Amino acid sequence: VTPSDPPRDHDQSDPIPEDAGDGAEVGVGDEATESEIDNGPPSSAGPVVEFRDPFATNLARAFAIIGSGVMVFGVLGLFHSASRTHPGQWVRWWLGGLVVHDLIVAPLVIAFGAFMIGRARGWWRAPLQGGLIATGIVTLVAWPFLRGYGLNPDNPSVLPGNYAWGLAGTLAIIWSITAVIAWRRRGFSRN
Amino acid sequence: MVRVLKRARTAIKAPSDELRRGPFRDGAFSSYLHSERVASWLGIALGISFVTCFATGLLSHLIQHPPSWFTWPARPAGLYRITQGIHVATGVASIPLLLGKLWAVYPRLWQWPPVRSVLHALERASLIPLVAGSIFLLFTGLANIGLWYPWDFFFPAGHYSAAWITIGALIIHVAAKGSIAMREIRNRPTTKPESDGLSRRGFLATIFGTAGLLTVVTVGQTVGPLKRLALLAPRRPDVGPQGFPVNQSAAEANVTELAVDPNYRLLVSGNVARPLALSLDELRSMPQTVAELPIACVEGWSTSQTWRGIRVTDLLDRAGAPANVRVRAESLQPGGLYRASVLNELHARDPDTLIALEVGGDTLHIDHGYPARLIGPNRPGVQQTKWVTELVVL
Repeated sequence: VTPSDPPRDHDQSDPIPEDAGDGAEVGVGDEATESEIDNGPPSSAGPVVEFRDPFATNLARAFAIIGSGVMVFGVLGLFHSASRTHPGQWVRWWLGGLVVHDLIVAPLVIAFGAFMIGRARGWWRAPLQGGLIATGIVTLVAWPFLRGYGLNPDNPSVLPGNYAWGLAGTLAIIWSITAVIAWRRRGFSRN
Repeated sequence: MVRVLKRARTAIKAPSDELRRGPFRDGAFSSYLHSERVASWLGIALGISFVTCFATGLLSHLIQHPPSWFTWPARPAGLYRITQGIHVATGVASIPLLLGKLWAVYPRLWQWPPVRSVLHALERASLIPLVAGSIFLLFTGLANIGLWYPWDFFFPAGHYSAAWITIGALIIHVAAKGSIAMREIRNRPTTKPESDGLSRRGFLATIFGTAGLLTVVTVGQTVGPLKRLALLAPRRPDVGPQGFPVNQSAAEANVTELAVDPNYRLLVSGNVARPLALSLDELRSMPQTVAELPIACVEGWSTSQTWRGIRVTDLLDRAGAPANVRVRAESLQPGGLYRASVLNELHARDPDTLIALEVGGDTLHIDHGYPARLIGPNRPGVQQTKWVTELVVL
C-alpha cells in the first residue's frame, strides 16, 4: 500500500489506545452536531441535539474549567516575570505569528498550491501535491539555519553545517520518494 | 432596549448574505482535504506531541528552578539528555503537524455565520491563544535551537509562559472538539476522494512523512549514530573545540583574560570548617577521577565525553563541609543569568560530580571552561558551570 492509495477502511490502523476514548469523548453545546466542513457550513437553524451522556458533558465542562485555569496561570506568570518576558513585545510576537499565518502565509500557500497543481491531472497530480507540501515545510524549517541568523564569530560550533547542501539533500530525498510513487501510479493507471 | 438586543442577536446569528463575500463564500475552499477527518487525525497527533513537549519542557524548568518539593536525581546519568532530546525532537516534528492541521481547518476561520451563540463565540475565542501560542512556541523554539533571537524578551521565560497558556487552550480545545475527533476516526469516511488528487490518507502520509524526515535530518545532534544524517541539525555533536559544541564561548562570557590569570584560585567557602583557596597546581596534585558523562544542552544537542578532575565530594570533605549540603558553583564570568548553578544534595555528593580540569585526555579548552569546570551526571548543560572559581557550601 503506497501512501497515495485511496483510503480503505479495513486496514486503517488505530494508534490511539482504547482508554484515550474516555478522556476525549466529550463535546460542548452544538459543536458536536456540526457536519463535515466540505458539506458547507452547518445551518444555524439546525436542531440542537441534547447530550445523552451527562458524564461526557460534565467531563467537557471540567476540561474547559481546568483549561481556563491553566491559561490564567500562564498569563499571570507572563506578567509576574515581566522583566524577563517583556509582555508588550511578547504579545506582538504571539499575535504576530497568528496574523502572519492566517492572513498572509495560508492564503499564499492556497493560491500557490492551486496554481501549481491546477493543471496537473492524472498519475502525477497527487505526488506533485505531496512533494510540494513536504518541500515547503522542510524549506521553512531549514530557513533560519540556511540564512545563518544564529551565526556567531565568537562561537564557530553554532550552525557548523552547510545548510544549502543539507536542504538540497533533504529535498532530494523528498523528490526521490515522490518520483517512485509517481512512477508506481503511472504503472497502475496504465493497467 | 430588549428589542435592540434581540435585533443584534438576530443579526449576529443570521447576518445578511450581502456580507458573505470572498473567503466567506460557500465553497470558497474546494479541496476535500479540508476535512474534519484529516483535522482529527492531525489533532490527535498534535495533542500527543504537544503534551510530550510540555511535560519534558516543564521537567527541564523544574530542574533549573527547583521548588522545595522537587529534587532531581543524579542518576541515571543520561536521563536529562533523553528528556531534552525528546523535547526538541517532538517540537521539530510538531511543525509539519501544526501546519497540516491549520491548513485542514483553515476554511473554518471563514465560517458563516461567524458566531452562532455565546458558547460558540467562546469556543472560537479560545482558538486565538491555541493557534497563536502553538505558532509562537514552535517558532521561538526553532529559532532558539539555532541560537537566533530576533526579540528582546528572555527566551526561556517567554517560551515558558506561552507553554502554559497554550496547554490551557489545548485542554479547552479537547473539551470542545474531542468528541468530533473520536467520532471521525471511528466512523467510515463519508466523502469520496477526488479522482486523481491527493487522498486524505496521502495527505496524512505526506505530513507524517515530513515530520519523520525532519526528525531524521535533525536528531543526529543528540543521537550519535545518526549524526551523519544530520543534514539540517543546528549543531553537530562532534564539531567544536576538542570535538564537541559550545553554547557560550569564553569571548561571549568575557572571561578570556580572567581564565588565564596565574593568580586563579578555586575557593571552597560558606558552610565549611576550613575554607579553601586552591591554585591550579594544587588542584592538579589532588587525586584525579575519570568520569564518562554526557553534556546535554537545553537546545537539544548532547554528546558523551571523558572528563578528568577532582571530585566535588572530596573538596567538600577537605573543607570540612557537612554531609548533606547543597553547593553553589560560581563562575569567573562577571555577569549573565547562568554564571552560577546549584548542586542539590544528591548531585553534590555524587562520586562522578567533578571539578574537571581535562576532557578527552587534554587540558580543557578555554571555551569548555578552562581552568576548571563543573561536570556532573544528569544535569542540563547550562548548569555545568564553566570557569568555576568558587564553591559556596549552602
